[in-house]
Amino acid sequence: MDVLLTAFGNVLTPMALLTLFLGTLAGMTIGSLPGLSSTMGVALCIPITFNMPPDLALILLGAVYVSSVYGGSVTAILLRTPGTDASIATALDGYPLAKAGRGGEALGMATLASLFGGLFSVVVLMAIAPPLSTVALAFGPQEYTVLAIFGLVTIVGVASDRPLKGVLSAGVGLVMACVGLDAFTGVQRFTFGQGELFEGVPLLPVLIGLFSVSQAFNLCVPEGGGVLAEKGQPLKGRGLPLWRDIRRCSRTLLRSSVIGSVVGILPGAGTSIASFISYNEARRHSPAPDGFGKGELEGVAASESANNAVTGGTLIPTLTLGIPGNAVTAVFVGGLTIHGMIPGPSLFTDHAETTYTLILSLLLANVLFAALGLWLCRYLVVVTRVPGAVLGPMILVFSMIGTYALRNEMFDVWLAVAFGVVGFFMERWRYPAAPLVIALILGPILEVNFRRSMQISHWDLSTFFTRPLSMTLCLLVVLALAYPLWNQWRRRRSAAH
Amino acid sequence: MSIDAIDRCVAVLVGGFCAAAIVTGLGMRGDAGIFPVIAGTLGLLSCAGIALGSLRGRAPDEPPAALPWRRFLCWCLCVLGLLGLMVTVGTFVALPLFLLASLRWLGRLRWPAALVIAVAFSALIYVVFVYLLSVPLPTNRLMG
Amino acid sequence: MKAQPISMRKMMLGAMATLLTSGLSTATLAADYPTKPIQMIVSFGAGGSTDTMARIFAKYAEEELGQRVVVVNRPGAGGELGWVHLANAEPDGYTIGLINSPVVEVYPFTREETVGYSLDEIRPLANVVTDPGVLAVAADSPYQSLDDLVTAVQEDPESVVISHEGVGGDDHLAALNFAEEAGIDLSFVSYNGNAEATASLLGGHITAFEGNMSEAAAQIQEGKVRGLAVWSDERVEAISDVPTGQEQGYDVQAAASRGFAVPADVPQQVYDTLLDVTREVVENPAFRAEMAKLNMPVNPIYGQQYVDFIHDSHDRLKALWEKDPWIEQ
Repeated sequence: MDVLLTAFGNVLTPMALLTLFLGTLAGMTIGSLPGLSSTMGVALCIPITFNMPPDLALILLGAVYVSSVYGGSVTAILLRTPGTDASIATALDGYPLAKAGRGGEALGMATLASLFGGLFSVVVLMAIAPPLSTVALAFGPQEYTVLAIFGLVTIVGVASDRPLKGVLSAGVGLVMACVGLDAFTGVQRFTFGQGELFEGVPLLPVLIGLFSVSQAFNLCVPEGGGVLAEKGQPLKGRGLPLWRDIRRCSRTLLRSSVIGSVVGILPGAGTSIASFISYNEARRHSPAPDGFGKGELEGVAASESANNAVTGGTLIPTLTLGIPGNAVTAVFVGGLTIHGMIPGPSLFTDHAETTYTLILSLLLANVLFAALGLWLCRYLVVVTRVPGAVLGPMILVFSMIGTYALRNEMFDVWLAVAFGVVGFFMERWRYPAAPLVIALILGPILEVNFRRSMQISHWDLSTFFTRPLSMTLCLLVVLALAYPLWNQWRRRRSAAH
Repeated sequence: MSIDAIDRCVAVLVGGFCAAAIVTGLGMRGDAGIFPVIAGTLGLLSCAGIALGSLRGRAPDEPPAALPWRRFLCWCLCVLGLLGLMVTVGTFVALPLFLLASLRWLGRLRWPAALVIAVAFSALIYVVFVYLLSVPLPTNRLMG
Repeated sequence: MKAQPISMRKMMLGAMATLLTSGLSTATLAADYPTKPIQMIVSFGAGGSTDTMARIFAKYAEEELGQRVVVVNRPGAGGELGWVHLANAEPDGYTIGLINSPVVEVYPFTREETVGYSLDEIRPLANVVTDPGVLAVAADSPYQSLDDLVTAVQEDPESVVISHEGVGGDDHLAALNFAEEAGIDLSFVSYNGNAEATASLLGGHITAFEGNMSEAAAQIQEGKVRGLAVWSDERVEAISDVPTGQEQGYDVQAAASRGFAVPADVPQQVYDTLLDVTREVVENPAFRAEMAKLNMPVNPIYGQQYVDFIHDSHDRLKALWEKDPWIEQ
């Protein structure tokens, strides 16, 4: 308790509050620009933290991390240009809402959901981090394999009302995921001798191409195009969702936060799995599942609370075991060690004061970005009124420069433009882009863990069904496959009656 | 073209691509080819499904709005110009020119407005990426 | 009405001209080097151990050079992409890069057909960190020494699975070297990074883990992981309980070294300046202290000695490769 009080004192000094504020602002900006990921934001902050006391350094890193994940939702909703894979699911319902002039409401819901998810996961981190960290260890390669399959099945189901087109999109994504040097044999697969492809098709240029660049095309190409469906349509002025909307979404918020926290604990599982699984669960439990994908506040709530709950989740194995859950927390560990704090149980004993300062500052950063977000959202919505042909070139420029900044490679910029054209036509012809991107993320997780399982079990396929945890996940996959079919059959039967 | 015809074209094209992946995958040594073959087969099956579905003649989807080809090509030209100029003349010549051209011809803004936006936005990019984030954006190769 | 846009256009042109010229180099003389910021190419992603070292080094080097040192990450192809950029950079001393031994000298023959640089295009400057290899098991593992592990493999080859971080990387080479010394065949699992491999080790999904000291030290100090051997000629301070391979009768030495290099044609004067700066930084106690916190053992090798080190290692590994390639052809 003393430690908590001291930590409170640390966070409430003027310097700490200023750092927190600047970090939150920087994080929100970085997160909302296409091409600038949270990883990059945190990495860029590390040299700045060299000369700071450890408390302030951690406050800065933490604030940038949580607020950059939230920042992604702003542009995903208003412009359909998700900066990272974490906000793709948010755009599914957020953008239709913005088109209908309800961008303010969607932003408000996203902000509240992010706040809820973020706070939930931080409380989990504070209260039961050490016992929960065993979850991270229980997952072996076999479990990751089945989890990746589960994620793929979910996403194909979510992304389109034409499942076959979703499967095609995912199939192409999986083939693209094979590109690069094979980590197990050193074979070059589909690289055509291009050094830029040895590490695989880079994810962010593809994501930025399929979403942001193609959106720039959407806005620029039609005469008098724009975000709003009709020209001069009034913005529905509410900056906040209605209380009854929040009440309606409360179960979704809770469910998604749990899913997000758990997926966050698993190292390497990825934020997008969490947001898509939550989105799918919200739709499955909804009394009106048909509204999803067409502008349903609950969809935004599900995705945003899940991806922000991941932030606290990923910190659980990072702080308790020294195993970073994703690229951002890997950079985080670097930042911790520079300040002489080796991640592991000692963080909660020897360095408890600093650790709790970090956790408290995460709480505050969540509150701060929510306050800033709720205040700003009525002004941000105005962006949807800007004519498409003015917005489009700006989105394109940000996408190009952001893509280049990822690894200073012109190749990536050309790739993003190529996928921009592909994405533009995919949308016209109703092929969903999300499964392609998610398959590109999950493909390597699936393949690598499948082959690891095979190496460990010496090519015994039954290894997936003899372990209790992976067996459970297998059942989930079967259910996820069977549920839509069963649903369809039931609906057809009731239609026949 | 109707959406069914487009679907058939896409199915053939992507099907060919997946088939090529399968063939290449089968030729890979060790277990490196397993996953390309699985992924390719999945893609090929869905292509077959889409092709069959498009032939079955169910109620056709509403066709997408006609594409304004002239504006589309004009925009593509602007984007290619941006990338071309970025690597030859430098980012901070290419950016204002691109913005100016696209705002003037696609956005139909008046010259002064287009100019102000183009310069201001380029300056913003300079401040954020070059000054704050020190990203070495492509600069003039001809002069240095 | 017309006058305004024209003057604005002029203003824009003027602004652009200054913008352009400020970024350009006038013909720089090697004598007053450096007169502008220096790019430091890191061939791995931001936040990794190579990147962290580079950024700390850059901070100290800036003080010595009086110019900004901009870290540029060019990850890709296991480091190859960054080295291609380094090899092809203007040899004016304004582009330097980090090289990681042994991978930098291995690619020219393991990727003979596709590799985009040759060792002749890169001139090594100085080594900074040598991070020895470590073989470790979980704390609750029954294996207490290398001999235990070898016996287990001899009894049941399928009972032991060892992780490494990529085929042909330094961990894989170290484990292969050990297997050869011990006369056994090991089953390998490839992981993309230290984090996932450690999680698998702690969760009991794999038997042992081959990695670098700086990555494993924290877990060993915590007592969650037991180091079976460190592949260096003497014990390492951070994990002094872990015996070397030699002590246990297995003559294996393996490490990942991180140092600096410049394009081959850099003028001698510039090379000397950079070498002096590197020496100043590496000998700086504050820099050493930061490296120690990160468990990165500083092992300075300067100038010609480092060039020889890289080339000797190249010749040794190439001979090994030609005898028994570790990537199936």
